[in-house]
Amino acid sequence: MRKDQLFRALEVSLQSLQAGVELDVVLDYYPEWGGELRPLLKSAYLAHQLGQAVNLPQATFDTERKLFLQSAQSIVPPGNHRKSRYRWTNHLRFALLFVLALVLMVGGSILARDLLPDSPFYVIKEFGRQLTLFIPADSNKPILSSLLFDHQRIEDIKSLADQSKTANVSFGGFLEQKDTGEWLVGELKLVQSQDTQLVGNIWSGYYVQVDGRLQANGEILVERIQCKQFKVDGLVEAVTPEFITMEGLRILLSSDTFLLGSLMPGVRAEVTLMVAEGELYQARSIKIVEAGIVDELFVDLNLYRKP
Amino acid sequence: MYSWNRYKYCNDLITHSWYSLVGSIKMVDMNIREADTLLEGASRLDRLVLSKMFDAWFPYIYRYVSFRIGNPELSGKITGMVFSDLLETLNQRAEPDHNLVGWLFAASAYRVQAYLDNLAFGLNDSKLGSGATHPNEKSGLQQLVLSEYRLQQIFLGLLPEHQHLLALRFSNKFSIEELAFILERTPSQVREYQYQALKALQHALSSRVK
Repeated sequence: MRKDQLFRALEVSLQSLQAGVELDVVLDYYPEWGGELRPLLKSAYLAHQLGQAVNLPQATFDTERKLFLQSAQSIVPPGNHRKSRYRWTNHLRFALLFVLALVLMVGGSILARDLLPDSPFYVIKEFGRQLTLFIPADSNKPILSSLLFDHQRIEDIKSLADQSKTANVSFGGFLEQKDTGEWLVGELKLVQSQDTQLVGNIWSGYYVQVDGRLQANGEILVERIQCKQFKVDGLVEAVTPEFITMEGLRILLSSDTFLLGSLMPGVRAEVTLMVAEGELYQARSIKIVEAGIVDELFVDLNLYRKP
Repeated sequence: MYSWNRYKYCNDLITHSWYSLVGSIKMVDMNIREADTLLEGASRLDRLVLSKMFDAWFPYIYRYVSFRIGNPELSGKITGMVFSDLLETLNQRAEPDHNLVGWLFAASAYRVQAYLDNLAFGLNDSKLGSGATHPNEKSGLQQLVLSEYRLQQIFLGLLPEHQHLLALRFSNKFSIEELAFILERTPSQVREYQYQALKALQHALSSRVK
């Protein structure tokens, strides 16, 4: 506070000196600071004298001005400012693209609502679904969305089957195995051929992904079938020998579950899981990630542990 | 009656303070903030704006540079270089988006310091010694006045930031508010820097005079 008063006193004294007031008169304003202000004001006076001595010669000004304007003349692109326009064009282009994408998305989803898999524009409908799944979401929302979309696909295929049409189809659903051995997914009968690829273990009751061709008789000639796996990323809330709880999901563990890292409550994990009927989630693999860094020690040393 | 007089006194005091405040802001507006209105045109490399800017600020920058290095011819060249720097910066679209004057003085400080650093390698101590006198040195102007050349040498012994502040304060007689705008500091900070710089100058002077 006292220092601040001194700084202010110095400034007022300097202004007074510049206004032509004598040094002794100025020092009388602040008798309590006199001892400190006097040498400072003397220094300031010398600096002031040095500043007074500076005069700009007209010739120097003219010469430098000429040089400056010549430089400006040589630098400025004649008659245009491309970069400035370029910036605007870029912004405009981005805005147009955004509007176009929005129109395509909204319009496409409205138009594609009634499309069936035999239509060449069915990809638009699929694109909309994939886009929805691509948007990051918490917990099991992507899984539920995926199940919902597969349900819609099955409905589309059934509509097509009612019209006895054929089309390449791709859908998912819970696999049901009849006593006779035939496979059903969402009441659609699956037929295998010699070319059918069975990827991995296929278990009845689990959610599978089917690629194939709808035939005129309503059966699906399967080209490829595999258990569908989902990825869930989040904090592990609880761990027991039978299951873990993560993001509100109860995920079952089994002897086939691969564990990468040390599993404990509070760690962040990436879980690959399969879905069984009755909203049962079965963990296939669990990768522990802490603070965004994979627990590389376990990866390097191949310390895969089973729970 | 007493209360009326008291009211009038307070009112006068407030009005006076208000006018002094408005006056100081207006002064800054007229001199320094006005320069920022040229920035838009300058960023378009508008030659009319550039010449207006040059005419307005070349003398200020010249006085600053000359205050710090003394040599009039060289000061003109260094000031010209500062404006060339500005032109180049504007052309690269890395223009100062505010505080054009602050930018100009910062660029000047950089140029001056670069020159002084180079000079320091070429000069030996005997030339910078306190006994050195300039051929054109005048004597006996006032009791306090040292020769311009000797004072210049004493200034060179100060810290660059002290030299910068004193040059701004005493070459162009900027007020504390204007300095605060140029340096992008608060007025109270500038007052403190000014005190420190003058204190440093005082020490340098007393040691040289002894």
